Amino acid sequence: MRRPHPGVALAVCGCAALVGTIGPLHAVAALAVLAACTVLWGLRPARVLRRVSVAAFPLSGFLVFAPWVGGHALDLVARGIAVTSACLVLGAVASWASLLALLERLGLPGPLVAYLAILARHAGTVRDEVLRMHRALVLRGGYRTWRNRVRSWRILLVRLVPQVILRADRVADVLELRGFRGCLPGGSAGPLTAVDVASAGLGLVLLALGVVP
Amino acid sequence: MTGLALIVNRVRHRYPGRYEDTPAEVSFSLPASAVGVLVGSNGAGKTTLLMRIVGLLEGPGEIRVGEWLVSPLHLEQVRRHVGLVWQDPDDSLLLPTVLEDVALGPVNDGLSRREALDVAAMWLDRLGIAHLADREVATLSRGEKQVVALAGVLARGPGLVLLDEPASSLDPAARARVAEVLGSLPATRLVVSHGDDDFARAWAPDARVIEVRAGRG
Repeated sequence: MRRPHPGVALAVCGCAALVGTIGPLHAVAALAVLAACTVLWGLRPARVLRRVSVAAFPLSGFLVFAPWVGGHALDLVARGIAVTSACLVLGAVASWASLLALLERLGLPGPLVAYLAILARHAGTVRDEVLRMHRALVLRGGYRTWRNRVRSWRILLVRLVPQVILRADRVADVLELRGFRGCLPGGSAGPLTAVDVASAGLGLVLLALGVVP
Repeated sequence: MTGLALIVNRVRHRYPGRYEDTPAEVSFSLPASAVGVLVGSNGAGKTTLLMRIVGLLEGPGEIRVGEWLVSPLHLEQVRRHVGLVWQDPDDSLLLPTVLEDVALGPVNDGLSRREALDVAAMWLDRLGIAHLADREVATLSRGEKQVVALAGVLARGPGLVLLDEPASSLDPAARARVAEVLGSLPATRLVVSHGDDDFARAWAPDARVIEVRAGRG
């Protein structure tokens, strides 16, 4: 994959998200630029499209209001899809770590970046815990009937909440034991490439579309 | 960093609502750079004792690490020089990528970012997991996480290393590498082990065995 510089990825996807909120035509333009970037950055279009469609499905629920609000419902859905797509494409090309290092270099306070880094790390751990509990429930007969399903969800929640609290407690202990004083060792992102320049050009075109009335 | 002597004197711990001490009263000492193996049945209080040594729990008895008494007054010095590797590696790993996580301690101890990343890379190399440097922690196996967690602790150069079943998820090759590194450390090492586990014996045949048990005080 020809991964872009995280700064360029953040700028282009940020522009797409901002411009996409202006109106339905702008949203379409933002989606076109994101599609071009998908190809430029070596992402698999089919995979991106699948993820976008998963996110677009709940958004399309707004269309039920179409008989009352007319085109506004479609307008809202188009803007929502543009913003969601920008976030999904950004998430696919830039790792959390590189984005956090970038945010720190852009002047975001160190403790806030550290908080986001630890949150990103432990969101994965909590997801794994949910998966483990879910599998245990499935293997032990959970989710088979509606009644059983409600009970399974209840067990999942009741077990998960104290687990998350314990995990947060342990993270606080480990931060102290590992000598954390608010510094992160973020890596460098490397030099800009031709792909970055081309991506930045697309972002600028999109920004011009948003600025020109 | 050279080893720090460890003195545990009449330490016992009772959790609220429990009727027995875990561990029951235990006393031992380890000279600087020595190896001790804590053995005992499940729930005997081995991990609790490690938590007492780093001051995460308070209770009766006295613990001394090098020149410092483990008390609120000296916690900062104690925690700077004592490294604890938890049994569950997910408890130890804090940052999204491996190299950054291992460099976290050194960068907070005052090294520049470049130096901290170099130290982290050196430890990953010594432990045979240099190829994992750029991997996201969430994508590692439990055994890989266990070695990364160990690297994160050793990167700070602790004088006393506490290891809570450090090889429980390692394959034979990784066990051998970890054993070689642990055996060559100048630090004092205290390893939690089940009695039938010969991991510690492989790299420290002269290790002192300390038995911990639960009981009423």
